[in-house]
Amino acid sequence: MILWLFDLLLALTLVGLAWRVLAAPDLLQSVVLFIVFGLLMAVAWSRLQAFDIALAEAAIGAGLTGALLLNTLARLESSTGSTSSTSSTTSTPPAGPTSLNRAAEATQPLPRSHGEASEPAPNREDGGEASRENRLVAIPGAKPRPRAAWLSLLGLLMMLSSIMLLGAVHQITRPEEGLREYVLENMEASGVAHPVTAVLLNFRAYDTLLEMGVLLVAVIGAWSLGPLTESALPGVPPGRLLVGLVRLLAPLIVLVSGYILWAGTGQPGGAFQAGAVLSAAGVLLVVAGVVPPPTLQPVHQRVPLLIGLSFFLAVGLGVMPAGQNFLQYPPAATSTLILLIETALTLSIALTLLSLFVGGPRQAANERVEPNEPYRENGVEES
Amino acid sequence: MIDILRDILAGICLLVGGLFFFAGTVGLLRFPDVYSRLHALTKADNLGLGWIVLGCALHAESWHVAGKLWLIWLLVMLASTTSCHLVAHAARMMNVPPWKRPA
Repeated sequence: MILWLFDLLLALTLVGLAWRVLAAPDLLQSVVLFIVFGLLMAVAWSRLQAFDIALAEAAIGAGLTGALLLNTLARLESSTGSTSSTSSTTSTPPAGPTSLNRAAEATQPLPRSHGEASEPAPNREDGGEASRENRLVAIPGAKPRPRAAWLSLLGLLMMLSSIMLLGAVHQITRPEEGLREYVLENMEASGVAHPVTAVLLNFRAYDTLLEMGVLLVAVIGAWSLGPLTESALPGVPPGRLLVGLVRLLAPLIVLVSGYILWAGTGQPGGAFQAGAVLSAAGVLLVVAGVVPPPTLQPVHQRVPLLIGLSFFLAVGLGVMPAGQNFLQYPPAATSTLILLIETALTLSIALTLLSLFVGGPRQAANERVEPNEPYRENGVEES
Repeated sequence: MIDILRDILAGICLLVGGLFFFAGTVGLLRFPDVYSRLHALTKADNLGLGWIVLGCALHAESWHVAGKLWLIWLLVMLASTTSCHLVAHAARMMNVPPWKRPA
């Protein structure tokens, strides 16, 4: 009964949060709420006994995507001038829902003139509207808000498509025999003890291989857009406390990542979760300025980026001369091969996600980059 | 007998923890400025989670699990303390004035 109530509350909160994410008057608030949404989503997955997805959702959905979105927001604002100097920061304390906004805004590393903080405050609704207008208008190439007629037409279309979707969902017949039994019957042959890992790395290894390709293409695509003109990393120098915490946490995070990777053969965990956790250590180290962001030029940075896909492919092809099919591991070596592949995947996923967070090569103006790095000669070519 | 006693103790710990989280949330919503809201939040993080971890540890199957729970609490305290400092520091840098009782 209590659990049922908890689930109901969770489901309602998720829907409510999703609405708030879309309807929040400013982007920062949306992003913060999105992170909260991701965390609650992870709780929901674990209530559904899908612990692998819960782990992935917490690490990627809430953690890394949140960092990525905050980073994007900072870059958006630094590239469009100080659009944030709207009336939303005022000296009168707003109450209620905007408290999160205000608290979060205090963390925003944006230059702000001192006088603005003491200007008289318009009421909250106006502040919200103004900031929404400003932010929408400030995005380069963004069109002004569409007319009400268009909006209602859009709403109508969406309603129609929702009805059609509902109809389609209604027509789906629930499969009597899922693949579940089939997977469980063949666990002996899979080389691992956890069904999810067996599916991802053995039964449907081909899908995972292609996913790694997608990740690699994503990094190449993002980094091909040319060097970043603005530093997307926080402008406020990280304090000693943050640096200290990061130095303390980084080895622990590496340990946890290794544990998740190792545990993945027998219980929830595996390459994607371990890679996401490992990349979190990288993100922290880069943000705190302990290590410079990767430039992806030196060989020792490119190897981990490629090792997942290439090792996976090499194993897949390597078993073929012995008479096996592509990716059909020889029974004797299955567990070892899967663990090795997962280790390679973890490294690649971690560096891929970190590279996506960093976003691209830096320009020389950024003091965080080592002057000796040779990337500038190669990196600027396409611009 | 021991089991019942343990259940009662764990229940009390969880309740106290819940109380701290409730107070922290109320503080977050009702306190007038960033600084005092941070105060409310970190109290919930540190003490509230501490009590809940204690309650859960009483129910843990082994010392092993209890140790893991304790580690989680420790890590959360480290992270919450540092982020609290970062937020307060950023607010200070941006000259967000601390709230004063209106005269």
